[in-house]
Amino acid sequence: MLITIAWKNIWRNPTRSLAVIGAVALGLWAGSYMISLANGMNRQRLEEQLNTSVGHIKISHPKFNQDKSTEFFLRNPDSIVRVVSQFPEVKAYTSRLNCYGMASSAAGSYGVDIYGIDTAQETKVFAICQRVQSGMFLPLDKRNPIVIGARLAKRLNLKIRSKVVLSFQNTAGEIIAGAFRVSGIYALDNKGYEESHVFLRKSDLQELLGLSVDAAHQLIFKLNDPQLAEGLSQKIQGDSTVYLSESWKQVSPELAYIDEIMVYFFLIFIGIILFALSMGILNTMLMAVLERTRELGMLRAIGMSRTRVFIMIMWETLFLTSTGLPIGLGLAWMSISISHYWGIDLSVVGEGFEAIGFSSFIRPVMAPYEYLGITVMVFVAAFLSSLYPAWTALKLRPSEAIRKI
Amino acid sequence: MLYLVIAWRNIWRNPRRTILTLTSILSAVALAIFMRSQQEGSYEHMIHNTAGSFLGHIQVQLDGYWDEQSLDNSLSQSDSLLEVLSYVSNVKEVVPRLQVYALASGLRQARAGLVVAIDPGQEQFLSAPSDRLTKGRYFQDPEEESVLLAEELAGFLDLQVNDSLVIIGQGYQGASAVGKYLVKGLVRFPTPDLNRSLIYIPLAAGQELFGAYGQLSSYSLILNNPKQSQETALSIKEKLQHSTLVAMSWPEMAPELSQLILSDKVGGQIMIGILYMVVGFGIFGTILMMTVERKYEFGVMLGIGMNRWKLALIVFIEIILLASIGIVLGCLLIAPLLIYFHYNPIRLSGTMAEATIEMGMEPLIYYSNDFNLFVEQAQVIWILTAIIALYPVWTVSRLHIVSAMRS
Amino acid sequence: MKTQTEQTETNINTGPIIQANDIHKTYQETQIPVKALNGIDLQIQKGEFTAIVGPSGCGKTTLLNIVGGLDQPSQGNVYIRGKDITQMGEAELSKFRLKKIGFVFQAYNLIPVLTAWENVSFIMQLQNQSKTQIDDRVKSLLEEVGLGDKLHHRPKQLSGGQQQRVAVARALASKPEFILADEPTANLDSVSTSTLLDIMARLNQEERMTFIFSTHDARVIERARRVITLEDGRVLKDELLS
Repeated sequence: MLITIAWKNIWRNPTRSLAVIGAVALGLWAGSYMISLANGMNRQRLEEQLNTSVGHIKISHPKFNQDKSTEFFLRNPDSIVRVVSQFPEVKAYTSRLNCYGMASSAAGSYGVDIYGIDTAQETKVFAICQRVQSGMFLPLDKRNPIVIGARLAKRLNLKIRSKVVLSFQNTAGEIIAGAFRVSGIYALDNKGYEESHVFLRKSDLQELLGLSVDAAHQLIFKLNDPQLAEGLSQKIQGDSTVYLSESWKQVSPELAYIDEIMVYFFLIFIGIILFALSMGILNTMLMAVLERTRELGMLRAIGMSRTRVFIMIMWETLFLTSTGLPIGLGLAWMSISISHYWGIDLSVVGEGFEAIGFSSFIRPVMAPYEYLGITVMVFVAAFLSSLYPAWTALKLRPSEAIRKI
Repeated sequence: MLYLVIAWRNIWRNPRRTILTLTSILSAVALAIFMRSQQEGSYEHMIHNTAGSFLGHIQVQLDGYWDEQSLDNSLSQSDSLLEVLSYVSNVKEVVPRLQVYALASGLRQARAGLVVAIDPGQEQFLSAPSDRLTKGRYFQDPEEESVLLAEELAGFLDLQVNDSLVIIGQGYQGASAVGKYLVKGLVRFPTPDLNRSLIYIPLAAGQELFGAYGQLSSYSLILNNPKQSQETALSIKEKLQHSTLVAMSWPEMAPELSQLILSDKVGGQIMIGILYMVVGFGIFGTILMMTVERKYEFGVMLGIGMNRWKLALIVFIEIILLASIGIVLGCLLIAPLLIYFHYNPIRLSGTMAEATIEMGMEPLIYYSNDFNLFVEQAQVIWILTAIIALYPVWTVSRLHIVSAMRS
Repeated sequence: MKTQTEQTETNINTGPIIQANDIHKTYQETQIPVKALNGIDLQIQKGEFTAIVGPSGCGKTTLLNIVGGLDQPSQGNVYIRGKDITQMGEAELSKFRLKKIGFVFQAYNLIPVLTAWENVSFIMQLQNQSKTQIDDRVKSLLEEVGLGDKLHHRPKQLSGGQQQRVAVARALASKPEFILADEPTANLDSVSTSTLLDIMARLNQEERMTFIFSTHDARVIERARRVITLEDGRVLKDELLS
């Protein structure tokens, strides 16, 4: 009964109630959409980076990270692979050689990270080969092929079949130079990566570095689910001092951090919107109570208890707020689904995003628990903003309330 | 004047409601200003870090150098050019530079480095190397055969002050360039990229190393007003019309930066827009109630012969006044915070710091205290409330006296 | 019936202040049309102290609203000093009310945020009276209604009767042709009522100010010199007393 009265009460002044409901609906819609955009950008960035440059778990010599010196290589990678591959979560692996060096052409020089990769295994873990725009990845029938990023190609004025000289230090500490021919040019959203990472056949690099055939600087594992990486990495590490096992969260803390910061962004952004909404709701309900002084007094006079008045006002506030909730979330869900399907092209301002590794083509997305989170937050906000008006209604004295006009 | 008095007193007829409405306006204004200040602060800083203290706001280069940054595309040092440039209005300083990527080698380690040959005096206006020294001393003689190393690069190469560094690279017109230099000092750069790769060498020594006598990569210009960089670049371009030289402003040289700023700005404005939309609905609700409550009163005033438009004006003034109080309070609330944070940027720590460094940024949050930030938000709120105020104005303009007074 | 021009010529100074001919008013607000006034003729001469009485819903307020130019009749004309106010546009009518008619409503007459003094001076400002004129007159007007000591009180700080007296002072400010008072005593106790009526009667006698009340308050009817009784939108009785 109380609930029915409360529901009818909010429709006594439809324009006013609709203003509040509209504010809730539009505020939540717009807020959710912004969040889905940010989510989409970050999720794509994470997937892209895991798939093209980071991998899920990386195993390397304990000293390699610090010095990046080529002498710190894994001496027996096969045995590590054998052990790790037994975990059911592991889907694929690849081994890499890695050193810093300088790439030079007639047009200039640039510092690069050089990877020697196992062409057979690499494609199972990384998608770089699929990002090759022109030419071929690392064909077996060519001598000394190299794959470079489009940005580096531009910088050093390189084309397919151009010659590029790499100079770096071998394991003995000598500086050596090797001539390579560009076999393919790749492009990624992450322009910074693209400019500074080049790929060779592992066998070519291994010879120049003076390493044995089975040596590797990194073993990269791909799992069924990237979220399992942290736990598995710890298991793999055990108490081994021969190698260092790191999950992607350790290899690339900023990726993990972005996940974390998204949660804050969500809470703060929705929180601010709800704060602003609560102000409006509080104001409206307060007015609704004050203009009904006589009526509430009458209700009290005919024997409605204080608690019931309090509860009735709380129900009214809740209705006022929560009517907009399904509308707002419904609109959000629809617009997110539609734009997720078609995607949103932000390439007008895309270069800026790409410079820090975001794609300019976004598929907005919002997880079910985020819809739930918004719902919970809206109810909390409704509850909090009902307290003051309900308390005001409580304070009214029946006799005085009736006397007042 | 009396209208203003009436409007002012009307605002305080229902203090509870006014305070609630003011709270939502002022918190929205304060939040928006705070957020915009953080954005603008970080932009100012990014621009300062890349353009103001490394690239220069404008560079004069040989046409084609930017696309192919090799020594072969260098320009010849020229006193007459220097003079022309220094007389362009808005140009504060002209800084000559020769910069080349080369392999830097310590005892055991080698790594690619960016060798920047500088005029030790003029360079102080651009990247100010002597202020960045963490160990050792700055160049005294423009011809001395020594280098300054970025800290992280020195750490990687395992070099200390007074050790020697070998630079191996490609010189002018294909000559090979090898030289051994004394490490005179270490410098620290806020930008991680530079901190990992930079090597300073005096201009004459650098030109000798690369066999590029009298050659420069660019003249970097420092401007009095960096915001005018594109306009100034245009006027320089005109002056250089008949030469093989071109002028590039920093947004042309670092398009990612200017686009990043643009996209970030747009994102922030959308968020503020959403906030204001919600606040706008709240204000609308209040105004709606106010209008309904005062219908009888409006009826009386029209009844005694007051002109409708004068009455509407009073109501309009009232709402704008309310908004203005909110704006002023919001600004007063946030201004001290902005000023404090402007001079004491927030330093991030832990994973946050790591992540920002990883993304090529400093782990500091900067705040701008540009007065325009306040004006900007005030304008938005004024426009917003002016639109909302149309509702009571419309109500008054078509109010039926008799039925208004019957209610 | 005479033509309008003839009437204007003959009535302008000697004739009645208010001449209402065959006033009809039908409200079409609900589905069933409500006839509020059904052919009323009315003449008010200068210096009258007239009460329009009758049961609730008889059309008192409607008649007063039409005479005061707040509402338009469905049929018929109202001449004030020979001018047909039913032919006036909104802006003209508004100005006419401001300058020629004084109003005292049932309640909430005053601008709540202005003091007594400001309420009166505000309407004079609207009438474009000069600052010196205003300053001189406001005080004397308020003294005339016995509120010389409450110049700077806001409506909230005044009793209901005092508020109505401020409303009378405000109505007088423009030196109107007549004052319309719609149930002015409806919310007042007997002391306030008699004070208010004393003031009005004195103004009527000393300054020949014309008052027209709508009321069903016996205390008002007692003091009136002419009582017009309405029923179902028609004049039932029109009696001159004393």
